Amino acid sequence: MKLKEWLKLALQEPLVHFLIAGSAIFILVSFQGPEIDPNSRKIDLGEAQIERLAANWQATWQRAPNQSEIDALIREYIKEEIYFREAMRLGLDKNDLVIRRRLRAKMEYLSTSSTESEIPSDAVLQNWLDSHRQKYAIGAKYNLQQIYLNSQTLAQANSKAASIFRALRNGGDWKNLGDEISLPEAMENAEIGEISRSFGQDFVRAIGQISQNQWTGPIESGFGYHIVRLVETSAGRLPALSEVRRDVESDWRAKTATEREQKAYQELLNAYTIRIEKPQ
Amino acid sequence: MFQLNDFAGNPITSAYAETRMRNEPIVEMSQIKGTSETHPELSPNDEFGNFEIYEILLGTTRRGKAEGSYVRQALQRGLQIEAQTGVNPYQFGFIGSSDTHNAGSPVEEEHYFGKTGIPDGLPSTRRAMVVAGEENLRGAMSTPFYKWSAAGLAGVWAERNDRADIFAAMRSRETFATSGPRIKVRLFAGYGYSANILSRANFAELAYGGGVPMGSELRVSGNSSPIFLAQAMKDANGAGLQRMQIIRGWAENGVTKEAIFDIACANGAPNPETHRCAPMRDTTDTRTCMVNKRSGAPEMKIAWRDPDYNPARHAFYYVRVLENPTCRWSTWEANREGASVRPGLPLTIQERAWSSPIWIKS
Repeated sequence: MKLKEWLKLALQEPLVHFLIAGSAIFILVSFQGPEIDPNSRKIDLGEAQIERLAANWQATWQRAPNQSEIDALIREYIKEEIYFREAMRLGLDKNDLVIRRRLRAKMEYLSTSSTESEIPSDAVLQNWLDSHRQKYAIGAKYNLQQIYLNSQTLAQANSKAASIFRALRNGGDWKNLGDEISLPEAMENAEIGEISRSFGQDFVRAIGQISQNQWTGPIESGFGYHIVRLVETSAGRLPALSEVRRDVESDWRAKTATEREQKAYQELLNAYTIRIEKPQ
Repeated sequence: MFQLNDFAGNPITSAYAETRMRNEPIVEMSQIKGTSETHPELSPNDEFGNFEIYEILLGTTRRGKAEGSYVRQALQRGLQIEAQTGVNPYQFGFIGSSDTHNAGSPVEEEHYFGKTGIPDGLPSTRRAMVVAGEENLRGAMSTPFYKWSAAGLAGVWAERNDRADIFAAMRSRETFATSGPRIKVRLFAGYGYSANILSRANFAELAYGGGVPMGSELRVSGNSSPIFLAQAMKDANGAGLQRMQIIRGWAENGVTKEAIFDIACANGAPNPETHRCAPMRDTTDTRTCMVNKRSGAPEMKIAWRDPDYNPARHAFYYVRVLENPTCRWSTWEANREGASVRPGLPLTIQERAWSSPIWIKS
């Protein structure tokens, strides 16, 4: 794939949007310049800062704030800034469990996101697909036709079925045979799950055993009995990677995030010298 | 919840009613913390009204008030408020849901696993059976989890299975609630339906074309009752349907009223005097809890006219369809544990579904 095409594709990915936004925030946070001197008691609230407050507000409420809402945002900001500076002055940020955890969480986020841009190779994804066959397998599809019998017992259904088979042999139209019910007379290219949602588990279990392309029955469902004609229109199979690449990649990402965080941590850990003295 | 006055104690105004309707087009009628259709104190003549009611206020041992807490009364009050203000604040459709906190939806009685995780995640903490030392439980753990229900379900009649159509259907209240089973139910009303509409292959198309679906209003036309088309399908894996009912609610001279009609029975037809199906015995085997799949009806589909119709009456009509009795989750659980169910809990329940109402207005 050419670089240009790759970029175009990448720019459509929500994950890429997320990463770009995340990096932007990180860069903003990292390069705001020197910290405000906590000893200063002067607060400057410029146009850019107020626009940023308004934009944050809009992101939550999906509309621009009105004048009194902006004033409230400014009051809140000033209050937060004053408390922040006074807290720093008092050294309240030192040894604070919540702040430490927050900073750790930020680092963990950075550790995983630095590898988030990693594009897994085909081999990695193919391997993932092969080891999770069940999840990605495409089920067999069937055409199903059914004639409903509202009988109470199998014996009653059998005797009704006999006359229906006779009518079918004599060229009767299957659509005019049987009893009325608001179930589909026919389903086309349906997977087992779809058939089960309409006819129930017992029915699906039973039709797994029947010969194809011939009227068979009576078969019991949650609604009564049925004479059924079933044709497999496509066999179940494991899809090629290209068909399910998106799902496989997103599953791979989600499931390996922990692993990648550990890897990133290990690299940091390697740069440290650590001495541990356990109490006796 | 469904008061005649607003939060400040003033009578509900049309502005309040409009806001309420804009924000609350549907109401959750059945979930794990009980079913809120109605209460025996509010509906003393509804023999099926005492269903999975949970009256204890969360986090306390106090019993809540029936008045103002149940959906049928809210619908009745909505009509009263509308008569005064011109707007009905409680004109909602119905859904059921789980209210689960553990990312799983325990809708099946046979596989109930609680809703809050640690507090009710085990048979020993749900206490469907009496547990030794339970009188010493304090705080959240002392909640009577055994009175909670397996979850309900929200049903939606949407043209396509996509977000836009599902939301549109909820906005237009074309929804239904179930107490858990995948029963399907729908209701239409109109004046010009043909006699054979029920057996027509394009039933739904004709039903929409000649009337309104549930969740809608129908204007009074002439002096005779509109035709109500009610249809219900059983859960493909559940028990058969026992009876289908129409519930009519209205208000007269400041008094809320209701009437209940059985409109279809698993066996035979409702008695035209009492509007009830013949009594049916609960034959559930509570030791095995096996469901007799062939008892009860697979489908009920009927055209019905109100035998006591009054065109001057501003009323709502909704369908309630009841399954044959099946084991409650607590019975399944006690059987698995080889113990007996806590005294006072019903061994069986009649699962059900409710269509959203249709409001008939002049």
